[in-house]
Amino acid sequence: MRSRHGLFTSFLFSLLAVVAMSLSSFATKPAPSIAAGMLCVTLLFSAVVALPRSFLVEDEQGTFDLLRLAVEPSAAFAGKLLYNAVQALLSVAVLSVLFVTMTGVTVLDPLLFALGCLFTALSLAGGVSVCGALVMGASNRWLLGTAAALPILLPQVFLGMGALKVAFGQGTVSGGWMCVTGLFGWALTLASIGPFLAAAAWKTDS
Amino acid sequence: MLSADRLGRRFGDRWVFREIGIDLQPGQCLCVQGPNGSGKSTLLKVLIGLVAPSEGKVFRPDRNGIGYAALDLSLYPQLSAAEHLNLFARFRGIHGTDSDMLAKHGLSDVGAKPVGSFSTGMRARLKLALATFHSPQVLLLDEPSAALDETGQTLIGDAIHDQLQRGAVVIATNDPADRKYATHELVLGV
Repeated sequence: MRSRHGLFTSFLFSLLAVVAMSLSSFATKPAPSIAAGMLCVTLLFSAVVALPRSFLVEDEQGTFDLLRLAVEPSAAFAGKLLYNAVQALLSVAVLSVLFVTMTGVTVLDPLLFALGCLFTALSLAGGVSVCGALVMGASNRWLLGTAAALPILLPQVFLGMGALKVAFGQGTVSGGWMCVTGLFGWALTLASIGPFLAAAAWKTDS
Repeated sequence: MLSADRLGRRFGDRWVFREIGIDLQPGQCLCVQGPNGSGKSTLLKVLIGLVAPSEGKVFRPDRNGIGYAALDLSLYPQLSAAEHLNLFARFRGIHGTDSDMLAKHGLSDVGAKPVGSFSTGMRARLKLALATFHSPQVLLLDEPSAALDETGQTLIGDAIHDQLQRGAVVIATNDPADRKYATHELVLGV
């Protein structure tokens, strides 16, 4: 947590992405589905470039063994998940405000928009944490990480797009709330199974 | 206290060690010796649970009952020595030991500096402090004398003597001087 590398990377990426999008759609308000897609993809990449660091930095600086000597894998995972969740919430707070301000997109359902952003961020934090925990210590971790990330992160992107599209004024309100419920469930599932997956992946006991 | 039954570890087709049996009681010190690459460090990592054995079983105390220090164990470069002790004390549910431990290990003057600026010897002292501050039942030291000056080696000797009053010690070493602590010896790679 002392190194704010992840947070800075995430903010820098978000800022650049939103500025680029607002310039590319200058004087043209993007359609709700396009705006929802742009925001979700930006959220996804902002999470992917920053959040796995909390796990991988342990591997890179060789402190994973020191950590494992003192704490249970599930507790280590829970701590890192909490840190990632806070980081993702900070990122989404800045990114969503920037996005709406700079692209000029109209938010017709602010509550759905806020909850869609909130649960997209939390489920991304959960998904990226699970991927980070699974690949930590693996020699081919980038390949493994990509393979693990696709099935975990793709549903979140689709659900996030579904919720935000409705918040921007396209689709049925009930469909939007179903997507938010799906995101909440996905985030809860990842947070619940993550500690067990981490314990299984890091298990070395005889 | 610490025991292993028919313990073996292999990398690919090569067995580093096999059929190792250990039964360590309080007051006993096992000295593991052998040439470079004979598996001394790997055996210690298997004993504490950082590396899975390829065969056999290890019976060890829980995390709070084990202390481990090794040359290749990394510290957090951005944290200070005091922050390391505080953090790991919190992990282990212990309070208020950092200033005593820093003084005991000759780190009081540098306790607030980031560990990234420490010499190898100072890091070794901090690792010894982290391995012993929670009074473990079993203390495992990998090449404890390496990188330490005379004062540091006295610290190691004191730590081993203290440990033998309450529990057991396992030392992996190539230094003949470390054999003086041994009540049992295990030679690998022969």
